Amino acid sequence: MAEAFLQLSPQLQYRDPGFIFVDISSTTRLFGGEVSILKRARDLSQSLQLETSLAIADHPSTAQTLSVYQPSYISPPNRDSETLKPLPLAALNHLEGLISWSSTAEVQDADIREIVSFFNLVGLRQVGDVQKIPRESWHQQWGKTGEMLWRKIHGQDQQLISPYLPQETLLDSLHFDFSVSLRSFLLHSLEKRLQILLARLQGRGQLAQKLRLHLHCEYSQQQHFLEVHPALPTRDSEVLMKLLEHKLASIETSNPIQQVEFEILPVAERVEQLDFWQPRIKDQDRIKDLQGLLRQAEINSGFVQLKDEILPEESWQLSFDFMDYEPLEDQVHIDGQSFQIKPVHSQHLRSAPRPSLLLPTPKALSSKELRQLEFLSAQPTERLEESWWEISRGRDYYLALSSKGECLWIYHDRIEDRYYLHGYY
Amino acid sequence: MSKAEQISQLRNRLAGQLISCDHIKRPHAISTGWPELDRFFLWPGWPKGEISLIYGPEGLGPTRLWMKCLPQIIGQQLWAAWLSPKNLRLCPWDLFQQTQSGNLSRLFIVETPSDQIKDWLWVTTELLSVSLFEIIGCHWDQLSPKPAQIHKLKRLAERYQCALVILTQQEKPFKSPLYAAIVQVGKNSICIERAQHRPTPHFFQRRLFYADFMPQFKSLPTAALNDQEDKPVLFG
Repeated sequence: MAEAFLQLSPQLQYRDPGFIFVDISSTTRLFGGEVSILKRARDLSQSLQLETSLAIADHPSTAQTLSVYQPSYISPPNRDSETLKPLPLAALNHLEGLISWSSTAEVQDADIREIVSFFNLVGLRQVGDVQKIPRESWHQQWGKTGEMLWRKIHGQDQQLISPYLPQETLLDSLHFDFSVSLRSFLLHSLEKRLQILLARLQGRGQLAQKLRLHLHCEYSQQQHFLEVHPALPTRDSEVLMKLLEHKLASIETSNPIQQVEFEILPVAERVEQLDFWQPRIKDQDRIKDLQGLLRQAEINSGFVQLKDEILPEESWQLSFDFMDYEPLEDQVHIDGQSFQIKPVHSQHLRSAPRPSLLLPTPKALSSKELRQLEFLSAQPTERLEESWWEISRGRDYYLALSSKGECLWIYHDRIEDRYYLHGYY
Repeated sequence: MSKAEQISQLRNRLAGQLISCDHIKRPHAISTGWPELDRFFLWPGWPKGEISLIYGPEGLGPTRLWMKCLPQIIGQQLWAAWLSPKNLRLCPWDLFQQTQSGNLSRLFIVETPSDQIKDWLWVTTELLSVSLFEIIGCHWDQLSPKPAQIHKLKRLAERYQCALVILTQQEKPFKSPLYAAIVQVGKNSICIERAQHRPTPHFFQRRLFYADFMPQFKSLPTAALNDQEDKPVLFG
């Protein structure tokens, strides 16, 4: 979870039980000040549905204490000592910082609680009261523990937060006490956990290339494996949830799901120079997301790619990316004083009239259907023939009107001697 | 009090709010590519944020009527989408010939393999929610959506300000009151059955075939040709 806060600063340290220390000294300006960064941290924890208590101070120990006694407080720079003054003496228990009392070598001679009890006995109630006691007295009474406490309450305890390099794989699992058959509930439960993983990804500066899910069913040890593969690596939970929703629709949930394990395969984020005048989300990115979604649903989509082919149904296809059409041109090769011309035949096909809709598979017309058609010419308007040595059928195309007045594109297969409906104008 | 006096009183009371006809701004729309139709509609084309319906047998040109708006959109570097039915593919060569640059990079095509209305609606919803396309043409073939489904699409079209044009081959499609415009493509005329603030039905006479469509037909006897004046209406 701490990884999600890496987006505030790369210098981060996590300590049990549930303390996250972030060194924001070098990144505060990027977020527009301490108030903004505190708000950002609060928003982030709310989006992850974490109950957090936040504070900003010069030292980790002071920040920890403030998060307990004065949540959302921002201690002014170089004023940690003054900030601690009004706090009750029990606050000394929370002056741990990056290292807990239990793992601190100095805290052996005396327990912090004993020190607090002692001060209470002599009538001291606030941290400000004990700040007046000289360093030597602390050392004399409680040895190294006393000296360390003195440093902490005077803001002289230096603890450095080093950069955090996440190594863990992006894995998570979800166990249901009561197995789930309802897809919508399953999706809702997954969404929360997915958002945490995506926040971790954001902290790492990575994008999700794939999302893999193992769904363990309640009976017969049945398992489902789902793999969501967006067209472009993304961190958009909406896109991933849509893809996941579509994938989930394809599985049978009569055997209810008891446990879900999911994993994100990350990929490094693209680093690009942002243009002030350009929108952050490009049209092409939106199209790619849409294509990914449709591909997941096994729906053919894309841009028209025109091709120099004789047969109309082969003269274009849908491609993932748009590619400019480069028509073939006559080529002239000059070699010394000789030259060779390679003419391109059938150039006129590019400007030949074509219907607006084409049947993927031409429909054979019965003799009855044929009799109802009115051919607009006795001679074919086009004769298309390709690779006669291989598969060519030899097509004679006609325009014909149906009884409803529809303008049809019809061809006569000269080998089969049959008429086919191929398109509508 | 006579009606004239009532009108005069109202005019005096609302004088500050009345504007002349010249200052009325027409709602946003995508030009149909057919000037006569643009002039007839309140919107200068297919209305944005609304659903329009074109219906009629396929060979009479409903798809071609929709496609007429594409050259202009593509020329302006705007996005358009087409949703093909299972058994009919959009042939791009005609459009390629019509566009000056031949650049079809802004036309996104989806070929739906399913004939389930649920799948169609899902794809249409996704296309709308990308918030990218100025106009979406959906060829629903013989499918019939329910009123609630049309209502959902209408809401999305309005939200994403997209002109959604539905095409169908049905002879008597369900004419939802949510359709802003309904156009019937017939053999001898194109009938505007519904258009906001316009007297309907309104007919545009048409010829089935234009003699100059292909040069070789010029010499043919005019058996299949209409004897109206030599002016293209839809084809050509």
